[in-house]
Amino acid sequence: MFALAVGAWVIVTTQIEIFVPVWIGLIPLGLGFAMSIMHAAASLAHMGYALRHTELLFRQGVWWRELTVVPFNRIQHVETFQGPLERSLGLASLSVYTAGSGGGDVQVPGLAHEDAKRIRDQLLSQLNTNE
Amino acid sequence: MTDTVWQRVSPLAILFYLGQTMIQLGKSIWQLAVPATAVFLTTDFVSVPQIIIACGFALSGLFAYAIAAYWRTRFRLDAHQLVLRTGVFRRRQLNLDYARVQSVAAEQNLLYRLTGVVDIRLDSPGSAAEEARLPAVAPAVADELRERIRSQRKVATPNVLCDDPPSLESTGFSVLTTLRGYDFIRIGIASNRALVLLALAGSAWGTLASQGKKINLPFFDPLESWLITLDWIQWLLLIPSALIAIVLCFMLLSIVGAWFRFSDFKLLAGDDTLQTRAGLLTRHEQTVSLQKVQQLRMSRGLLHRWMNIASVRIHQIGSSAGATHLDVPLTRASLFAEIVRRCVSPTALRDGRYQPDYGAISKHYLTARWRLIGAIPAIAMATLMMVRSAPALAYGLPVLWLITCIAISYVRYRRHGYLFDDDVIATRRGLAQTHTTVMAPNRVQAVQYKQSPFQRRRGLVTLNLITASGTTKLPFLEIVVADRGAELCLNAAARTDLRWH
Repeated sequence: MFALAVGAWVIVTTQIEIFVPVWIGLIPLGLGFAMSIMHAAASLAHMGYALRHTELLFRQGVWWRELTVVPFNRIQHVETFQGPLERSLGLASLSVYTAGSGGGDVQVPGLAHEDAKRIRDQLLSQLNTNE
Repeated sequence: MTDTVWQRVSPLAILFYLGQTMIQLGKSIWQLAVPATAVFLTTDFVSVPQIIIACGFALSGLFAYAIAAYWRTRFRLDAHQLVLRTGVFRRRQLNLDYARVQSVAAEQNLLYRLTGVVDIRLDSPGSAAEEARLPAVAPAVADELRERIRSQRKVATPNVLCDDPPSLESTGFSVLTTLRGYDFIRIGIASNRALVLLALAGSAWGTLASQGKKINLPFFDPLESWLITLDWIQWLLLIPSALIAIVLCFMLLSIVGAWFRFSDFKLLAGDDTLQTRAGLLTRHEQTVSLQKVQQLRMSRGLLHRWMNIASVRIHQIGSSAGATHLDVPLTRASLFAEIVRRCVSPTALRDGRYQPDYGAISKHYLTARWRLIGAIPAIAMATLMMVRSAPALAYGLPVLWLITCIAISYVRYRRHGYLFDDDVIATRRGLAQTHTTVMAPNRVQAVQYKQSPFQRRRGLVTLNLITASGTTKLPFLEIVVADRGAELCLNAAARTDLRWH
């Protein structure tokens, strides 16, 4: 959204041959930035996971909502990932893979590293139970 | 069985590696274009003999690399696994358990048939392309490999490509269908490849017509002067005749293509496998374990419906990512039902029809479609015309667009359908060509609900059934219906221990 606002500003200033004061141009930029933060906050509010007896549930999305259900006995492997920023904040992402999925079927970002490890171990114990 | 010794593939594999290296070079030729141009521009390296010498060196290098690749390729058939070592500069060792083998594909091109060797490809779950390839091995090796896979996975894979194949009865295979002469005509006519070729030819003709005069094609001037002399009646006769002739030519090409590809086609069924074999010059053989089949996709175009036939593709794990699948180019209703019974469930689609009684999706699909792809572009178009002061007649264009979109949306809505049964899930979609996907509920790896703001307001949901061979989408379902479908799949998943179905 922020990129869209910047793009719109560039188009307006380069294509329309009228004088636009700089402070007017900052309005869409500021709006775009504020909306990006609001969107991130709304994403956080709508994102969540749940571990049931037999399935992992993951929901996400602000406008287009998504709920993914992965039965434990379909999980092929589990992966935790930490980028430099996540490492500095003590966070981690968890990816769950099923057969034939190129990327992970479920990717849970922004988990506390301890939580990510705990969920990973829990899922792996479920996998071993189902072996 | 005890571990065996290392073996080499046939020296004919040198040609295979040579071709493979050239294909890989061809794929990255655009990357070589810039440095090559720079070399040509900055040096006097432009004379023909020098270019020939350079090409000779390059070919010698490629040939040497192919010989090295052949020399470095060794394999061993152990009791439980195939061990394959490849690579010239970067060595690779693959240990592939026979139990993990998803399907076995054998191929013989004309040269291989003359020299009596076979190209074997093995797929395993999760591999996007073939997991292992043994180019140019002796039929005896291929037989031994098949036998070991069969003993591990009980996959019966008869040797069909060697000179003296055993009888089908002795291998426990039965023939489900074969193709006769007029079937190639049906496949060729119904194939949309002819239409693609026609579109390409139309575009090429347009370019030729515009550029022909500039580049002084020898036939262009006489043709142009002859066309100018024609009166309107002759034009009226010429245009449809030319169109029909062109369409017939392309159909003929399509029929010949089908004959080359599917000559001597057989669909065979074993206890727990399906196998196809076909090909006039290059013989293809595909074997898939029934336990590994993920989805069946049946396609029927307008001509398919007119001739009451269909084509079926049998997907296994990784098919969407390019792994092998079985193609049955022509089926009838009874054969399709038989394939469904073998691959999905013995009791599925008992009535043996192409189209069972599908449930309809929500009518709001129609509203969402015509608003999104019809009304919004039409309003944008009309606004633009108003700004540009377009003539009144031009406003017919957005209206025409809107009417077309509504008509297309309605046909799509009518085509969409679903069937949730205890032992089968079937979905249907399409416009001119309908696609029916059939699968067992226990093949579903994960279930996904998706809701747009429009769907949320109306209590609807799009249900995605994720399998190991791709995702099947059911748009605009009532939430209760979607829950029923998801529950069916999740219950089926809970009842099974196999992780990759």
